[in-house]
Amino acid sequence: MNPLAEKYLRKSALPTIFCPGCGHGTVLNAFLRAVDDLDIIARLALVRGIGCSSWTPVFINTDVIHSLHGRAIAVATGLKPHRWWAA
Amino acid sequence: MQEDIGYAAETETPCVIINVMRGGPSTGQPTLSAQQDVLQAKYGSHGDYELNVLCPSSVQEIFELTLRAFNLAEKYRVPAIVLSDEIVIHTREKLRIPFNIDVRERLKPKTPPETYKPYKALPSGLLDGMPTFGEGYRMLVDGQLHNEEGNRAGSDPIVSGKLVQRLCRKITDHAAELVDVETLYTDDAHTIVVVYGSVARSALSAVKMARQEGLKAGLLKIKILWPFPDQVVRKTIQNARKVIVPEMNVGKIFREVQRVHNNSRQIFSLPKLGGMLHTSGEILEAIKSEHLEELITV
Repeated sequence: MNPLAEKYLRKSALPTIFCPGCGHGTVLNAFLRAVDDLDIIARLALVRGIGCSSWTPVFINTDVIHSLHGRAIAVATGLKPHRWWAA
Repeated sequence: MQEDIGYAAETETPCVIINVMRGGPSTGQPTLSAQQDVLQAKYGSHGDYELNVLCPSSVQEIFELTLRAFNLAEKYRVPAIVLSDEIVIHTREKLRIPFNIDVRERLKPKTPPETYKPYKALPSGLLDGMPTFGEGYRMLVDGQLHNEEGNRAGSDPIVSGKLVQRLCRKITDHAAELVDVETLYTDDAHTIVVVYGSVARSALSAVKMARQEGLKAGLLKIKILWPFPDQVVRKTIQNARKVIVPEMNVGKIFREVQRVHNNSRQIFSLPKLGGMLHTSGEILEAIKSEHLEELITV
């Protein structure tokens, strides 16, 4: 397994459900590179909504919450003051 | 709001919702009272789930049941709805706040993060604590049906079925612990008035007036409406010759009372619509009446 995948993916959620040719795997790859460059995994929580793009966070081994349709930003806004000391 | 209630039930997120009922449907009667949401409170969101609904009938009960709602929500990890109505909410009364208040703190997992499965239930059907984001548990909280680790399992009929069953049974299996009723003069009563919420106020004085006139009337007040206290209601009303269920709706909890009783012909709905509370005189008249069917007009 790719070292980035080994380090950051949630093993119990694999394999991914992305369709052949889907770009979301590439987005996930680029996202994990950014997380690694910034070294922020310990301070990272992900909020996901509805739709295929929202599957990306499920495969990342950190705190992840699913939200109702159109409510991801509202949930993230609620999460931020709760963890205000995190960057 | 209903979608959020289902989401909270499915993700087992404790929360307390205050619903002060007013006359509906739609904008309805914005400043007048009703009890029309009693079934919506239980069945409002889609899917099978259970939750707690508490109905206060006084300022003291608003305090006590709201506190209880928070504790029940934390214990069972369900939404708890304090289902009040306009009359109770606009009432000003003396409130006694106890010196020691029983507040249930949020339980943290006993299992360390490495082996913790957030949705693995204990034998009681309840979960092992609730971590906060950032504590190292790497939670996966999902509105889809999921396995014990939180991973989606909506396409697995066994896992999905078991989860939905547990979401219901963690309440229904503990229904005996979730009974909160008050009774007055029910032991020898020929006529029992079954009430919840603000109607309990006028029903109480109606029952007292009936007793002063030598009529054997009793009162059963339900404070935790859902899960419905089947056993206690059945036991309390089984020897009564007549059971009256006054409600500020077309007769909703009436059907629940009918369901638990073995002779539904002895049970009468006393609906009142239009935003006004039953007067104690109206309930007293129903207690006295031999021909209750003629009194009832919706």
